Amino acid sequence: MIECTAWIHRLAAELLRAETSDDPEAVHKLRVAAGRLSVALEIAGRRALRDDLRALRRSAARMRDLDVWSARATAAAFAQWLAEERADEHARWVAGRERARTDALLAALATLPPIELSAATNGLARLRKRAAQAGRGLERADAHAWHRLRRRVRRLRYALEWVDGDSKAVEALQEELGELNNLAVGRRLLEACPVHEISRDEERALNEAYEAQRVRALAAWRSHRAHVEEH
Amino acid sequence: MELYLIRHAQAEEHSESGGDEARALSREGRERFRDVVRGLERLEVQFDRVYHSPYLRAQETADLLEPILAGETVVTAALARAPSEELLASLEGGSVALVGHEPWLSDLLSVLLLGWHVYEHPSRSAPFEFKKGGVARLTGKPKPGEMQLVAFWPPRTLRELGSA
Repeated sequence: MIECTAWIHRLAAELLRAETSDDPEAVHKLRVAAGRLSVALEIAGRRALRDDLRALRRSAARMRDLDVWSARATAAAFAQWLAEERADEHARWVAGRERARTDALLAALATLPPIELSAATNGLARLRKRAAQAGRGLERADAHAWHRLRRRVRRLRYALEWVDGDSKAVEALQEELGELNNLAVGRRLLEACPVHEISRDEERALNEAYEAQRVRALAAWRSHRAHVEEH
Repeated sequence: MELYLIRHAQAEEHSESGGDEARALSREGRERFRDVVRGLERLEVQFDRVYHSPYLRAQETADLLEPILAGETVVTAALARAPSEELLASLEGGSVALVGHEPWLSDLLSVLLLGWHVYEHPSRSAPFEFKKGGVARLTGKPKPGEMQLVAFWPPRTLRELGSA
């Protein structure tokens, strides 16, 4: 059986922590809990609550991006701007949060019975297929296609973990794709930062890091593709 | 807005936890409601949004609407209590389904069509009786007294249409 109770409690706890503190781990764990629960519902063939979980996860996406780069930024002006943006984004998120919808979501999640493992088989196969499809033509992929692959690989990893399957290879692939996304986000944030003049060296370094990571991500896909497509 | 009020399908008498909110749909309830959904498909009904209460039987009824859902589902506690202006103000979309419970659904229907709550006229019986899996279709602005009834389908009618 797939038992979601622990993750539901975690979601509620991290939601409260994310609201009442500026701990980046709370935002990260909130998004992970929402993502994992959404995948549990998907592999169980459920439709309701997935959009509510996605909305909650997405609402905290910018905070997560800012947290990741706050930990990585070395240029002082950029780091300062990130910290200010993060504080503003947190205030916006707290003020604009759809509390009624989230409260109803938590109440609804509390009613869910455990999921039969047998019910998850078709759902897992569907997630494998979608991840495999997203990996086609990766050599010529644009940023959007890489993003789509990353999301689908993440969902496949969560699904494998729900059914106690071997997720190591998929997790390794997800990490490479995740780092590629981090660098893409970094480029966008750097461009958006009004107070820091991006030096040509900095821009070049970030672009080079992105291209190098793209090569690593492609190698990781080739290396682990069979684990994604495994039947 | 085309608004569809849908009472959840038939549920088990009890839940494992003992809580009313955790009662799942019965097997018969699921099968019958799948026929209701096929009936709605035959009528070319499609939703761009489905709102449902947090109760498990409403969630599972919303799940079964997936073949005729083109957009998203939204959980709202406002469908697990008496109808409110808050609920009506929150509705978005062109073709919207609300999956809820009695006695609130028939009260909501009364408010939208007639402008009054059932409890405001205690000497009268409720003007509408929603069976489990029943569907009411309304058109107009989702405000008290501003919608018109297009159809009120007992579940049996839709099941027969769906299995024809």
